[in-house]
Amino acid sequence: MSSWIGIVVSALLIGIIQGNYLRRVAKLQDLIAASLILTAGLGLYLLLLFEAPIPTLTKLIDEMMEPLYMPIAKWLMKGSGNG
Amino acid sequence: MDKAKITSTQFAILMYMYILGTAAIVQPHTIAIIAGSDEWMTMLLSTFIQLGFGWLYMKLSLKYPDQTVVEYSQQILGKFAGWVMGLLYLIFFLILDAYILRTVSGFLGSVILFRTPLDVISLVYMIPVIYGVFLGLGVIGRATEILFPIAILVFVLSSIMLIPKIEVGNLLPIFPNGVLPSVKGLYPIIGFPTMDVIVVLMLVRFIVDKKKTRKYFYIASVAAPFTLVLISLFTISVLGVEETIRAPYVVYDLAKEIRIERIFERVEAVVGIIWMSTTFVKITLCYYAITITTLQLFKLTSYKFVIVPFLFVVLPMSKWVIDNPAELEYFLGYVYTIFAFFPCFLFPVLLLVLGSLRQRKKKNAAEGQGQEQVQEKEQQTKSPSAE
Repeated sequence: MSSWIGIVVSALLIGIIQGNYLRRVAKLQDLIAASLILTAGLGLYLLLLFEAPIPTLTKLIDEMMEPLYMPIAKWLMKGSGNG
Repeated sequence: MDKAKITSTQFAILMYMYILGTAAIVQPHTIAIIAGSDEWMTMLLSTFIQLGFGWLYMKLSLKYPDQTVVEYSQQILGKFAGWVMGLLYLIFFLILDAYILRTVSGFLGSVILFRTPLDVISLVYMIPVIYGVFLGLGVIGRATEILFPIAILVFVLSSIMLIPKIEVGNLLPIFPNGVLPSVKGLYPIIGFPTMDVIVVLMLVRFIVDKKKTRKYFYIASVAAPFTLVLISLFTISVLGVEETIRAPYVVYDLAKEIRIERIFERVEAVVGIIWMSTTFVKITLCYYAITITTLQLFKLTSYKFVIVPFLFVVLPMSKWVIDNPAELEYFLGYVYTIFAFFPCFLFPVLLLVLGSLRQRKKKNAAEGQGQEQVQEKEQQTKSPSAE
């Protein structure tokens, strides 16, 4: 748990430092892109930190791809130890 | 954009390490479940498939040698559709990077650093990756030139020391259930690591001597699966099929067998360094592809501005991708190949076909225009004489 908080705090610090730097040096587009990426990452972190009921990415892809991969998986499992 | 360039040799070494990547740690176990003692045959067959995909990617990349897939997809499909395809590639590279990071941190966490939280392992692992990407592809290429001989030396030495432990009987009988299990075993290999080589579509643009690229890339495409053949031969002949199926990180268990009493023991951590270096190359190249794709999609000033922010996306994603190692095993074994089929096979084929049609159409139009001009000129020359 503590490692998560450390990572969240470091992300916020980096966001502030890089945001300041980009505001002075780079274009607005760079600042917006960097901020959005950081915010998306932090959002995902917080969801995981507070154990939000979201399925894992593997489960999401699994559900999406099930009609396509299931026949192949069944064919592969036939005759193997998993079948 | 990164101004650094790499040579074809560096590119080939990068690709060799990239293909081996985490596949050497995970795949011998996954393939053994399907192909049993004939998994070496599966690895051997995968060489041809690797070459086939290599041909496709080289054909497409060298058709547009000064552009990445993000750029020429916009040229071929039009601004909007091409941009969407670029975005899909960005998401794919992100997911791939997260899976690789999860695999390597899971590997380190379960065999070496038992009591260290996965987040800390992932973060520490990502620090050199971030630094490498920050320094650019040229530095990554040169670093790989240093890592490569070390990895090969450790691999050769450990292979020699395993020779006395080999039991040929473990490999026999060959094809007890026919060739079909070996063919079935190809399915997970096609996804991971064969189709992952899609990253070349982002890298060929940075190669200086493009004339040699194709040849060197094909050499790397044969050498990497051949190394996997050797690894699978060693795992089956030394540990046997049962142990290979049971152990999730079978290559590490294989290294534990290297033992010369009281003189040379516990070398598995040293052998583990090879796989950490190959995985480092894989994660770094994927991460580099992520930042370059973002730069080109969103027309940023420098790719360096998004390197650190993406760290805080890849880290939680590596945690989010799976709940437990069994889920990862199932995903790599059955789901990933179909998932990767779209960005790694269907899209490149689509781009290649549409690109060729477009070029042919342009060529025909140019020829048509040329003929019209010739006819006009002929008419102009004829008309004064008629007068």
